[in-house]
Amino acid sequence: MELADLVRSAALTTREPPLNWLRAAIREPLLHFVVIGAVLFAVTALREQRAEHSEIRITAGEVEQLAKFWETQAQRKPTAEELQVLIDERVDEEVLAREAVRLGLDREDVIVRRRLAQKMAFVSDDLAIVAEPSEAELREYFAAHRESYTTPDLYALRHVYFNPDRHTAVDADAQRALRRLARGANPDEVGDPFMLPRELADVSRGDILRDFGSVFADAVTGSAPGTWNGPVRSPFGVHLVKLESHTPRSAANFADVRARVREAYLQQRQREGNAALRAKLREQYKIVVESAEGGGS
Amino acid sequence: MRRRNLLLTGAVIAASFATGADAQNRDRNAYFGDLHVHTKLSFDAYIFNVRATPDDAYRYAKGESIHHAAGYDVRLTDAPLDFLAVTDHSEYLGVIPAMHDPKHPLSKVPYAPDLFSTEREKINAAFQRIATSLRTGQYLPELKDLDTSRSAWRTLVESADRHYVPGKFTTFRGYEFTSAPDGQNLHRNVIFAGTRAPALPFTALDSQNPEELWRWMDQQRKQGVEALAIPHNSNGSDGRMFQRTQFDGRPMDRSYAELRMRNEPLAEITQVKGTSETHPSLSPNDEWSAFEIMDTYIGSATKVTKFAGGYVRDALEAGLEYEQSEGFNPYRFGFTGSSDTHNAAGPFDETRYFSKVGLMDGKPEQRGSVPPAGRTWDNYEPQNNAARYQSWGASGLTGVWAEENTRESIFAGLRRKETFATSGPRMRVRFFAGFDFPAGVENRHDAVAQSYARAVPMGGDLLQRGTRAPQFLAWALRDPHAGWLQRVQIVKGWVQDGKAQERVFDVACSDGITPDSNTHRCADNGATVDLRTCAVSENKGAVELRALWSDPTFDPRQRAFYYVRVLENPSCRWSTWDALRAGVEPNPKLAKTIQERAWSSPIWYVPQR
Repeated sequence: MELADLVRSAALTTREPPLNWLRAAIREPLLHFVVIGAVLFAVTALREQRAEHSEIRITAGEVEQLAKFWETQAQRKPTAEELQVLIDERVDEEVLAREAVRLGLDREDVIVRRRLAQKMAFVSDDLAIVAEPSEAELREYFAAHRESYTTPDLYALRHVYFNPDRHTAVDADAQRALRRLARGANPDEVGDPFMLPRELADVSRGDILRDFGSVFADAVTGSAPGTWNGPVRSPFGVHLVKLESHTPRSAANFADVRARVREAYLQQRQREGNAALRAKLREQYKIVVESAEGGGS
Repeated sequence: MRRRNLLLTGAVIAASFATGADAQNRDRNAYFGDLHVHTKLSFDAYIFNVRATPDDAYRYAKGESIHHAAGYDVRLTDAPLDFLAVTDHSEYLGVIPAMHDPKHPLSKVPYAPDLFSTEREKINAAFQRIATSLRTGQYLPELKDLDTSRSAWRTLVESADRHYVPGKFTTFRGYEFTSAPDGQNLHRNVIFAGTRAPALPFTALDSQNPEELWRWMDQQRKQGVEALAIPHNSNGSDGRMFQRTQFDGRPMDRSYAELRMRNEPLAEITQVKGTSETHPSLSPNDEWSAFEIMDTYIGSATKVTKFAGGYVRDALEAGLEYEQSEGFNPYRFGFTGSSDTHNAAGPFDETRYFSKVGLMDGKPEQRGSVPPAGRTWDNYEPQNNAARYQSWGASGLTGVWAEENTRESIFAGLRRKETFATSGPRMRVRFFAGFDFPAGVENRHDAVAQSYARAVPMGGDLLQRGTRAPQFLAWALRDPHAGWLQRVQIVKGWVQDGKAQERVFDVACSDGITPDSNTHRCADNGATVDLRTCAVSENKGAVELRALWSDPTFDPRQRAFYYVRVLENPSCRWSTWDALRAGVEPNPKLAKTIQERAWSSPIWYVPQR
């Protein structure tokens, strides 16, 4: 059975009829046994029937690999006898493993279960990567997520800074400076030195928030261009601010952002594919979750 | 590391990368980034159950939330990063994920299933299997699959290029060279300047000798592939990272020093696995030297026995001695800080720390900050790994002064060492030295422009000017989302009678305090932390600190370096936050508070012979 093909078909076909043979394959070993005695009896009986058509084949490639791993450890090639021992061990391992599965011994083992689940997830998540999207699909995705590809409102502003550690009455000093600025004073001669730029061009609200906090950002984005306002507080102290210009948000051209759209589209389809496969597999089961005894919430 | 400012709580930053490129700023902007990030392509991260990809790492840096192996989501709360380099281990790059793929031939290696467990003991055993190969430098032949590594390297390169948004978010192609002879850590991150990179990295399985790496980088440079290497965790090298010989024990010479400095202009001073500035035994007169010290090897509980050669301040001093006696300096480097996260996501914030090795330490009980269920701290003895994890810290970041947020501009800043490192918060640090500052420069609006015109910035050399004493402009601005500043210090190293000396000067204090002219210390500003709530004093500390300083011990004939260290007021360490959230006492063996800090790259004063 080629598990990969199975999963590929499950991941990529969303409208096909339920996977009957998958269902059969998954359920087949799960059904049979109720009591251990019955199990052993059944297995013994089955083994005789199975003997002719249940084959264990160790391929030439596998034999070669066994020899290679042996060589890695021993630093020389195995002799014919040693190789035969390796092969016998490999056959024994296969026989025991198959019988263990027949007996359902794998089902009670949390390690085996987890490993199988991981393997399944690995295979299916890999294969859920979809074909190259068409231009129409990309455009549709772009239209539905236009917000992510929109240039936000952009602002240009000036500010003057007052360090509260350097003023006994910082608000009063700022108020006085505001009147000077209103009368046309040069902003370079007002306020305290500041390490960050005193003029900001083409910044978004997010950029302003990041360095100056929400009070300052609100004051800037809410003010009319061309006049000095304040005092306004930031995590650094007190500022006077002047909005110079405001460029409203603008949508991107599809052609300019096509590469980003494609990446986002593929990621979304992959997530959807993974989720769809899990949902589909779940459909094959009746899931009962018993509540814990005496458990309230 | 970052204590969130009450003013800004809830001010969620909408990360926006759609705006056009910022104009160039001649005064340069501080850009913050992480140059040391691992994803599932690293052998150890995959074994730690990390499944985050390089794309996830870049998304996290841009402010999106990504999944942590321990079952929760992580996100940068206050601001995205400005730049990032994913630097997966080049040894067995991509091989472990391939072993987990049932269709891949590598999955047939007999011990493959042993590498994939969610049980910590088995994870550790799997990790040690590969780590042993790195300690010996010998390939595990069954895992040597360069095709798989080549394809994983392409994944890394393509992811970096895809996420680069010039003007807004810079990415670098990079990887980690994972050399650890006998477990002594000589790891380096290799950061490529542009879009040219080799088909495969040079790895520690090609050679454990970093000199071979540098020679390979020289070769690459001749072919137009520019890169620099940044050593990290010198603290876990047992004195070997900055030893006073070449790799094979021969004495250093000029060509060694030039080879090294051509390729390694920077060193990582802080990261999750401890801070490598200095050690209390090396700097007994530095009251702040015991900061986030990790005293074991990397990836094992072996104790470090030799601190000299393992810390950057000691190395800078060794460099001065070489320069004085031999005329060359193998250790003239600047500083970076990074996380070394193996979760594709750096834990920079003390208040929401999630450490760095996936399932191993993703929960407080696993990292010694909360006792095991049903237990108290009485008779608590951490298991080997928890003992190491509890010594780790929520560090760090690199700040770069650059004209714009592009690969060219930021790489040029790294190359000229105009960098500073922080323990996580984004305080900004300026540092200039010169003889020609205009009077009162520190109070001028154009202080920065004047300084660039008349002085040298951090990372630079200041040549002797007769007998004149230079001035130093040191200026720090708080992180608007973190704590307040307590003091700005200048750390000086110099050579006297052939021996290196060091001294720490406080040069600016908060709360109206001036440094004592004899002790060169600020008086205590009285800032406190309430350990029941982690609340800090509301009215202590400064928004910014600034000083134009002259060295009272200056001797124009003495070779010296100077770097700035900025200290925040004390705040709760991550382990205290973990305990507070769990409603238990903090681990009595751990520091309850720390002082977040930043370090500028040094400026070297160079006497003329």
